[in-house]
Amino acid sequence: MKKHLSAWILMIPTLLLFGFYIWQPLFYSIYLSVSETKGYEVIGFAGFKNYIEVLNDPVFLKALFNSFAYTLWSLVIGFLVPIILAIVINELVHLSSLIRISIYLPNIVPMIATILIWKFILDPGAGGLLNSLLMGLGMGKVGWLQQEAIIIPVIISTLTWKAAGATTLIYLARLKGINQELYEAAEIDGTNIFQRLRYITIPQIYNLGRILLILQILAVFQILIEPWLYTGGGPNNASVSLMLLNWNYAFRDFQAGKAASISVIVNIILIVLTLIYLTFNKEQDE
Amino acid sequence: MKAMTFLQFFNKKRYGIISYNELRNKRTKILYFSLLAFALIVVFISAVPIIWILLSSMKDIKELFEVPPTIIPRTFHPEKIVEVWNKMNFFTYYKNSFIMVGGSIVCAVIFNGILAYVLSILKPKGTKFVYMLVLWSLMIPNIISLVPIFKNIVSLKMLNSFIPLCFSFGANAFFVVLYKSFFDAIPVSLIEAAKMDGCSNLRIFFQIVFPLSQPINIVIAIFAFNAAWSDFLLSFLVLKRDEMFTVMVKLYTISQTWGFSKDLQLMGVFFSIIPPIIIFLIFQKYIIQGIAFSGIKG
Amino acid sequence: MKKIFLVLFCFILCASAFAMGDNEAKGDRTTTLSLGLWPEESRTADVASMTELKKQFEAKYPDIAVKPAHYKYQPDTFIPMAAAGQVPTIIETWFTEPGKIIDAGYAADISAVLNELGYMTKMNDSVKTMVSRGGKVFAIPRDAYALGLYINLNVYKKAGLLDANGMPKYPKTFDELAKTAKIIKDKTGIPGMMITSKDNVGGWHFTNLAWAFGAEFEKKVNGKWMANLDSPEVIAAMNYVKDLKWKYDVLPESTLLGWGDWIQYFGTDKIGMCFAAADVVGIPVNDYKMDRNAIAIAPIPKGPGGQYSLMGGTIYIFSHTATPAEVIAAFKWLDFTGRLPKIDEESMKNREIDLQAKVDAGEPVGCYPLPVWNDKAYNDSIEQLNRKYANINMDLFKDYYTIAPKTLKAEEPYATQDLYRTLDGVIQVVLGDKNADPAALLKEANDTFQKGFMDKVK
Repeated sequence: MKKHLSAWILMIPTLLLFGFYIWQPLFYSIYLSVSETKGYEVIGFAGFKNYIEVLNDPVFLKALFNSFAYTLWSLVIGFLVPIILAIVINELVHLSSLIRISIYLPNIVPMIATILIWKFILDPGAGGLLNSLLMGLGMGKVGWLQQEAIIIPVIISTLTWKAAGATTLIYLARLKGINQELYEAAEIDGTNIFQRLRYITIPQIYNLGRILLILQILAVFQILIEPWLYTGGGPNNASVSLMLLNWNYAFRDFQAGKAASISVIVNIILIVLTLIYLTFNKEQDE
Repeated sequence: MKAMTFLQFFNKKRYGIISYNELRNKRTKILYFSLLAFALIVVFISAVPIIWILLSSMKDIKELFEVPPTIIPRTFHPEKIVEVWNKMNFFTYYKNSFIMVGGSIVCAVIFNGILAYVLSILKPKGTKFVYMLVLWSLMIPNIISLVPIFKNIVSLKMLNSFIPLCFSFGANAFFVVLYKSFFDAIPVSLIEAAKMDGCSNLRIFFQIVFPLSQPINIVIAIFAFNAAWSDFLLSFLVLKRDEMFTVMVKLYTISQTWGFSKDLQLMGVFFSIIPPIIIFLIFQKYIIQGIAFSGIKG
Repeated sequence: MKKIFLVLFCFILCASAFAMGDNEAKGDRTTTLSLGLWPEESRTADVASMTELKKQFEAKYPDIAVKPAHYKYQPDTFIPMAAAGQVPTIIETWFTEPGKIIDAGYAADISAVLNELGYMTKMNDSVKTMVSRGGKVFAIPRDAYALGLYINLNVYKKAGLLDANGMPKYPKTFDELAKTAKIIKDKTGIPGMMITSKDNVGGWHFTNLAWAFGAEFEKKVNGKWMANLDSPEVIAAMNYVKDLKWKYDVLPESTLLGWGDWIQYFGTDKIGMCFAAADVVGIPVNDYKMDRNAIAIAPIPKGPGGQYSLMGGTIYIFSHTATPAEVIAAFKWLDFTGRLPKIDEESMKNREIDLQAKVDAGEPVGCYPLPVWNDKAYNDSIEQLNRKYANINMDLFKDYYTIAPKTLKAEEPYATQDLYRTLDGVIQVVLGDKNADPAALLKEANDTFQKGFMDKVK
């Protein structure tokens, strides 16, 4: 009994921090979302009024749609890049540490600095680096960060630039862990390179890929700083995300109740996504 | 001669899908070098934006606004670094950032380490439940509930203080999971022996578990460094007075409010990138190992 | 190992010590005036003159301690700060903001102080309405400005648009504006004009433009307030914006520009003209070392619906947590520095210190604000002082100062910021898409705005 008690006493400070920063805020969000608020103070019970008003906000549907669009684009653009990179780098004997160091470099650039760097490069005028290169090649200018049709893929590309290196290193570590004898045996059996890739490499990183997939979905769904600082959610709300809407309600319009109801909605979506993922996994494993 | 030594690297090829034998084949060689070329393009894309910005920040203001922009800078004024540093009082923001980052690293290592130690080694009643809560927290990153967190901080009168920022790193589910998976591998016999000697739980942690865990401590410290140095949302909400700003909050102010010219913004980017790059170059071996470890365990 | 821990704990302690370093002034000075008006550190000249004023002020009032608390108002930093009760005793904000701040309860009621000091009756009526709720007054104006058309003389010169005396041949109507911009574009390749579309600034500028086309965005119909964003006049104005972009092609490539962007474009000679008010004339000079003699301001052009200049300005608000003594201290500061409608030797002297500092820093001086107090002597003194210290050719601003005060128009009354945000969205589409249909977009925006905001107006 004493053993348990002293162990619990050790845990308490950390658990208090978890409570302060994660658990209590989560429950308090639920409470706020059904409350009438003035500023951040609760002044009464509101029932589902906040939810109804949020759902009726024309921007909400757009933000919901965009959040899914961000997630899908991040899978299209960002999911395979690290896998391919890791497989390629794992084959190389030349310059491998230079390659590893450089692809990780963007990861240590702070988010705000990343955004500023890309804003300079993607400037829509002839003064933008990318556009001036395109014009040098005889092509036209592109309004990278201001066209509704491409804004989300462009933002996701800059995100991939920042994050892919670290993910590549994770896959690389997994690839290093593959028993080399598998490849040797397969080669003796007369398989070619692509067959070995298909039947040995891919199955070996499949599980890791599944975990990273769901982590990526959960992370990108909550995208906030990028649309905020790249475009402010524009053009015409084409890049506004649910979390940006939440931020605007909370810190621009000062409506904590509505902000909290978006938090709760986002939480529910994340839980549902996780559950879908878990069932899907279970089926596959069986 | 040079080509020979270059190709001799193939002797080291003892891993991967393509084997040393196959590389004697001309077609495979072509494949190999196209892969190498591909990787070098990726290296280029990764590194060039950063290098270009660092160099651009030292252009003179006339060249900076030239259309089209110069890709290789013509003017180079490293003295701008000192100028802007003094003018914008960046020493204050560096000092603030380093205090905040230092405190965050300490909190990240101690609080998460102790929780993981209890969950992994002491395992009192209820361990499973607590661990489940921690895993659950992994799924709910705290930016979702910024308003309540902010309210909590305000009600403790902790605005304009680094304490709430540092302590936020003490509640990191990811770090707990990393620590736990490392501690799980520590031989039980070591702990048992210490218990026999009558060591208290806390002493066992600091005298046996902690020293044994230097590799993971370094990994967590570096992760915490990066996360704390880049932290923006919470710092932005908590730090309201200019003299308390961290480098990130100042960079936001410089870039998002008027009154600061573009070349000041670029210098701000410069100042915000240099410390993490230095840390990365010093600890790159640990960092790359650490990421690999986090990937496998986490 | 222990050593490492000692070091680490020292670190934590140091960190906490730094964090706690929130010293309040104590001693004989019983009242602390935390001054949000304090300039930021990059403005060396302003900081120096402010420090001097602080010294003299504290010598005069031994019971008040002035604490510098620089704060540049931003909507998303103000609210969290106010919620935490951290707002300095007095700060500046814009004409567009008081409604939101007062409704949230974050501005101190200063009616009693105003009545006691006799300033209540001196306040301009439209300003008073703006900062009042239920008969109580929550803010006082610093100054007001009319939106104008900034003219970059470097660009005009290149385009051959200066007359023999170096005066710009500026556009008098919106038709001429498009043509002038086209001349600039053709002759120099530089975009002649700039249209904003972000952070509500786009909508803000656009309302002024559209008034000239006869627009009326909010209308009382049968006793109920109705949105009127899809009237033929608004559509005509939006088509004009569309033509600037697609027909005349006289706008910058970037179609997502906010308020601050003009500073860089204008200050580095990348546009010929833009909308801004006269209070910010120093910023491109300060930030981009622009020649202060290369700036002229013209009145907003005339349109088929008339000529209007949107009135904007700066107000002082007082923290809701400030004690009455602190609010009075803040008033004493305003009085001391000549910001209240009262003329005496001391405040005149201190106003001159401020202007001299700007002259010393090479910033343009001479553009005086519009009157916000019903006190002719005071208003005249402001204009005279500015003319006395003027270091720019006031002829470049002559028409602006003649016409703008006669064509002033206040902003639309309800959900103004939301109106601007809605219009921002339409402008973004129109500037981004050659085939956009302004009429359809405005119809949709009108419905959204009516449902989301005007229906709630009582």
